Amino acid sequence: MRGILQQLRSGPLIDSLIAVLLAAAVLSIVVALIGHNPITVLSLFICGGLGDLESVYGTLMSSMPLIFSGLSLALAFRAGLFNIGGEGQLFVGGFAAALAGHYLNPGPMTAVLMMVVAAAAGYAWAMVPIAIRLYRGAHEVIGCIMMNYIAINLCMWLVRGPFRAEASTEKTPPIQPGGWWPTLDTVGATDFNAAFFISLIVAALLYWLLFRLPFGFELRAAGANQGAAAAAGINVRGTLILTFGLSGALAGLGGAAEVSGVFGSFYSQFSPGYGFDGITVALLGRNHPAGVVAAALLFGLMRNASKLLQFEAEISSDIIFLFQGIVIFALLAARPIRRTIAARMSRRA
Amino acid sequence: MSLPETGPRPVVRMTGIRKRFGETEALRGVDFTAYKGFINAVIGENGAGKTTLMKVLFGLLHSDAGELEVNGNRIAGSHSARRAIALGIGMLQQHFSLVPAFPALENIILGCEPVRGIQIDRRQALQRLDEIFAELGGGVDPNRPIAELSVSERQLVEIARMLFTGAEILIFDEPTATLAPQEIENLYRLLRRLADEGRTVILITHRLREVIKHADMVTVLRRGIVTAGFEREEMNEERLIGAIVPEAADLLAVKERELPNVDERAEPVVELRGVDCTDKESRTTLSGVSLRLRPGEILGIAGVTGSGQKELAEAVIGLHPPAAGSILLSGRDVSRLGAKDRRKLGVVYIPEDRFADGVIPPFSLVLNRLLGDHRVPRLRCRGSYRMNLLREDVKDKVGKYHIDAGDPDASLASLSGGNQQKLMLARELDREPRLIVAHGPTRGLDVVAARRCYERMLELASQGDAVLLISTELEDLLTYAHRIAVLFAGMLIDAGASSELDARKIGLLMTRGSAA
Repeated sequence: MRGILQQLRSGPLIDSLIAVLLAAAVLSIVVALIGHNPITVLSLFICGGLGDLESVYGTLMSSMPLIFSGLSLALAFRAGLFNIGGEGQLFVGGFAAALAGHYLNPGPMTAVLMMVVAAAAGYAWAMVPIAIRLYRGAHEVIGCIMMNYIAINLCMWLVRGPFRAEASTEKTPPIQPGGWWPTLDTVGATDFNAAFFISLIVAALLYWLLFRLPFGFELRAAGANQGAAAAAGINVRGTLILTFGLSGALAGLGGAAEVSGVFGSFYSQFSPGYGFDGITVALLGRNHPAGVVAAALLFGLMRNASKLLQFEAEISSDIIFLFQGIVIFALLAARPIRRTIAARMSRRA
Repeated sequence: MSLPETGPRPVVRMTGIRKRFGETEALRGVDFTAYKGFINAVIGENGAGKTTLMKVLFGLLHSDAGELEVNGNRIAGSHSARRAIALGIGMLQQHFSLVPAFPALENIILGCEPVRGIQIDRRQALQRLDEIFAELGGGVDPNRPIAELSVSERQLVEIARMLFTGAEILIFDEPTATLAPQEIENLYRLLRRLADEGRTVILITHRLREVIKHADMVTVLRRGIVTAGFEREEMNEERLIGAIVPEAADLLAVKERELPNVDERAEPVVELRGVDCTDKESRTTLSGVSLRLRPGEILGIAGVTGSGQKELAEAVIGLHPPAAGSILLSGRDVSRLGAKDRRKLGVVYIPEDRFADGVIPPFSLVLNRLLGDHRVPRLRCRGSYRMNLLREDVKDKVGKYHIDAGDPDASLASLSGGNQQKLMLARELDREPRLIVAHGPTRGLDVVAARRCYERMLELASQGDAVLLISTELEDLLTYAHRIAVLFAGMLIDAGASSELDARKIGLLMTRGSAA
């Protein structure tokens, strides 16, 4: 626990807080310009995200896919790689999990099996761009974007064609009862599913990997200085391949968690771009698993509250995407701001 | 132009300069004067504040207190590099700052391009460059990309760039660190020429012999204050060392080194048999290199920068498999083993460029210490690293290797360059090595630290370690190596026992490949 605090202490945590405040300030101006009271909007966010037990559950469930994709991006960033293919890995992971959950039936182990299948699918999908990068030199971002198109369109075709369960919706056949993680509580229309805790367990495991295991040290060293890592006997290429694969697996797990915890099948609209949102989540979370969870909770809250915002104030839910975008710019501004404040304070002292 | 009869004219006057970085005070009230037409040297140990002082002068750093006067005018308000350049100050930094893909001309005019209308005036630029090269007494083809130039040619380009901006006060930070002996002589000839033409040369260096031979004035810094200043006729090695590090004068007084005995019949620690290496584009980087090192033996490798030194070091430590030939460690063929396995067999490596291949500046001291040992079971306990053990170990090394550092969890980047180097040395040399591959191990170290580094290597050699010492500092090779070999265009030429060699003979081998 001390380690986590130490990692977050000083610069990075403060930077992220400054970025959130700065982005909120900019957003307030935008809200005011379109004729709303920023204070009202803020209170709607808080009401809609934390107001009662139902909205808390909704916030946690909305955060879950963001935690997975944020962890996926954070892991790759730690090794100096940019896994912008999270969306595609999420799709193939979710689709593979849905098929496994329908056709295989190892009783209560079905949900675990679905996660394994989804992780393997995400891992395999990530192999293509990283192999092209390391053996042929084409940047992984290009390969990832290509693989996203292939994944998304392939899954769409499969769910509309061969694996369509019923004519009315674009869904695969439902998973076995054993494929569901247990629902812990239901308030109103919101189920709070145990899958949320899987995301926290995965975050803890990733922390352990990154900061406690030799492999985590190796991937961070390779990400920070490939030459020094190689001279220290680290197999840089192997490390990068495995890291990128694991990053893909994490994104794939996010797909499985949505299938096992929310939808019960693969649904064509099951991701509004979670794989891409992971970029903002990882950046705001400073590529630290605890930071990722915190950032995902923040964005999850906003997503969940956006329904209320739309209903009460008729502000489009797109405002949260605006916020996510501003956060990225605010992160860039945060460091100089922190330095200026620190310099002022030390001068006064 | 010649010196006015009335004595040297101060061009730069810095008084009471103070600069603090967080907890440490790098400059604690420094007075420094540089004279027109002089080579003004600034010396001192690692972290003494030399580079910091010059960065203040060049406007790269803001001083916390003190006054700066250039050409008799007080510089008030905030100083900046832009303003410094406008005042006629130029600085050649420790690390090259050229764009490798750009031709020499474009690098030189970068930042102050002569224009006609809205276009860059190439003809005028070339004309002025011709004048500058004529003034420097040498030049390079303006159309050749920097990447194709040698280290000394790049330096010439950097100097031309300073003159192109109209600099009259020229700061050189460790300009001879990467040059061959002949190139060093040429550089000093050039510096003298610039000074004689009425420019002011400020020279930061660790090499006392060069200061004594070439400088007109020297200012000695120690822990952020000026401890002494000497004029040309007052300088000698003992005085300078006494001013730089009074407590280490004894250590440096010993001139002759006793090298460890080598048993000629012992099994070699490392042996290379006809090793060829190629780079990614299949160009030959090493051809037919053979060498043999017995326990306790120190082999010095000299050569002009870029003759295959890095490739040789990387072939021995296992980063690149040889294209032909074989590498043996204690009689075992390891040609196909990677760096990880060779490390296990006791090969340690001190790379030439610690930033590229040695350390990770944003990581803490502890994590940098851990690098390369991160799979050692002893350092792990119950699924995690034994951080307290590692912290203690770093503290031990900080004491043992005289590293100027406090918190083991602070980032390595918070240390001065010399202290980063010392931590890397400590990490590698304390690993119970069998073979030490050291490429410019004293780069950035002051005289005392450099001496300590070599003392430690001699100690390890006397315990039976073999040392492959690659360096451009011929004096060091002659002092500390049993034998010297010269790399010339990827070939290794045995020069013989160091007791029968001198710098001139090695220099000939370096530049021509033969002593004739």
